[in-house]
Amino acid sequence: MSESAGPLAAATAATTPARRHLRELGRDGATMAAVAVVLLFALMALLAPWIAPQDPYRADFLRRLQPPAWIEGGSWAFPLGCDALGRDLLSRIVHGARVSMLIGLLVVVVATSVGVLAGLLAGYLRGWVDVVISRLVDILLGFPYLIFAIGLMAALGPGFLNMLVALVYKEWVLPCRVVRAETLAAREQDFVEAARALGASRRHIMLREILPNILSPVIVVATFRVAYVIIIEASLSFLGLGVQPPTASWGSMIADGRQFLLNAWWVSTFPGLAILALVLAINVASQGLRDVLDPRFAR
Amino acid sequence: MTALLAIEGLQTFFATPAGEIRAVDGIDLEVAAGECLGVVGESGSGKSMAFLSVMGLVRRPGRVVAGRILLQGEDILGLAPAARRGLRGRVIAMTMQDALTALNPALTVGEQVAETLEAHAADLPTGRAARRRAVRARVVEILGLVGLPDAGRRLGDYPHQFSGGMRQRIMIACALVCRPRILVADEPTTALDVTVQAQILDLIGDMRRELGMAVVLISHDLGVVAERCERVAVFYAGQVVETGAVRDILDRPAHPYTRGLLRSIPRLDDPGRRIEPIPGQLTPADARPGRCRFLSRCALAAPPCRADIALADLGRGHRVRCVRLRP
Repeated sequence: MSESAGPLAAATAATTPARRHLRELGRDGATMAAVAVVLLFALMALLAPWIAPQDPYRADFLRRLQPPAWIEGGSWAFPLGCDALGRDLLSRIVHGARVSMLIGLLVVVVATSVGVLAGLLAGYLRGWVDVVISRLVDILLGFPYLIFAIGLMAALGPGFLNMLVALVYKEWVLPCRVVRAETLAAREQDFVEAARALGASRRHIMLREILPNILSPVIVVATFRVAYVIIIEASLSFLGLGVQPPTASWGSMIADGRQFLLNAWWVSTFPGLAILALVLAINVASQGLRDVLDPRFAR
Repeated sequence: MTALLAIEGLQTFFATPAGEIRAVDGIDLEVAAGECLGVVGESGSGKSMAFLSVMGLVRRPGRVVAGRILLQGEDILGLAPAARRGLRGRVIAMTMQDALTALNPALTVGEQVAETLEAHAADLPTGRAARRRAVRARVVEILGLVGLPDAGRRLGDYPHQFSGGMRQRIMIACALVCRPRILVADEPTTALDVTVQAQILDLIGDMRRELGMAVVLISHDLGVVAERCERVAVFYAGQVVETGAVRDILDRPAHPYTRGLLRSIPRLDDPGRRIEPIPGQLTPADARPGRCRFLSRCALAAPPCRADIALADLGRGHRVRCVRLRP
């Protein structure tokens, strides 16, 4: 038969889209390096209790503001030095990665789920559902992120769970906007009409027909936002509104060190570098991911 | 005999800033069980919109404003949306014009054919494993029936891995997996190579016999319809201008538009004949009431044409909407 599958179809049949994307990612050196850094931080967060050289909570006033190992007075048992309470900085940074990674991932996962659902509903159902959701999005976008989070944290009180709530409260807006716009385009596609003609329900069309087709931009936005949420978390913790002491968080560690900046620069600098490295790595990695998933933006 | 599908006085209008557009304006049609009805007309004549109205798929600003649609004797215009959804794909299924875009690029073909089945899960066994097996068996069966070679192994492939003809076959499988009583095939061959077109039309004919269903074949090609259908309805500007048995319409076309269509088809048995196009084109303004819709392009136009023209019966179900041409 003239229309049967040729050898080309047989050859491509073995590779799923996901596998092809992964292979493309592998060719990009900068992206791979960034992914490696992110994985390193993730591993660090995961294995913190086993790889941290010291107990991050054990204060020792004899080691107060002890400098890093390579400076006069430092020791390799405390490679990055100690803070004002004599706690090992490296161990606290390793443990602090848990807070940053967990908040970053949790907030983005929850917010993206909420945003995707809201965006699908607004974009597919239109009408009053769209009006309500879109106006809510507009209102939330009107507030500066950090101010909004500070206000919410002040109202809710500090703590891990409250921070999660405060960040999700605004974070869902962005994926919602992206999904709504993509849904508006996707709902006009022939395959949506075809599915309707064969009796597909609205829920089915939203979740099974449209969602798989708009997943790429959602994934890209979500990865970018992890970095942003990590910065917001650090900012809140810096202001004392985040996770509470003695839990180690990079933001609060920077805050702890700022009064000693002149004579013990390392207390603030190393957690700051940790934030810089992780956020930079996430951004570069998501840039690479975007180039693969969304060829329109390829460099 | 009650028809399987009867459309009575159907009107579907679109409210636009420029005024009301009468996309479908008073259609009466019947489809008997098992028969093949051809629906011909040019772009914008309302043939697709009439059947989208039957399916309940007209989108705003379009609206069915009047008429009755009787499916198996029941007026479905009054049904709740959920009840109408239950009919789509199960009792009456429609395939869309462009097979290349009507399949979801992000789902495997197996998933897409299974979707129709899942939407109407009435006769599937309960229990996950048994259900999955039953769905898979029926998907493989229907894909084999529509002529997809090696259907069992290709369930996990995506639409882009198939040729246009194969994709059209998969589309048809999606529509037929629940064994509907009527298949509305909207321009099933438009997006395909000429060599594949005949195969797809043959397939639709085979499926019709195999499953004992009625087929409404929407096409702008009178030749295709003449070859495959028993009856034809010619659409123009939202109305049926002529309807009847294929033989009657081909041998004794009674509407100037139908005659124009026949004269504009090249013929193998008379190669010296000139092809005469119909002058002018169909515009929304032609759908105004109070005059013959074909007035602006008709060589026979005369004062009596400036009135609403009723369908006149010429016998044997041959009906025409013209006051000038009377045998």
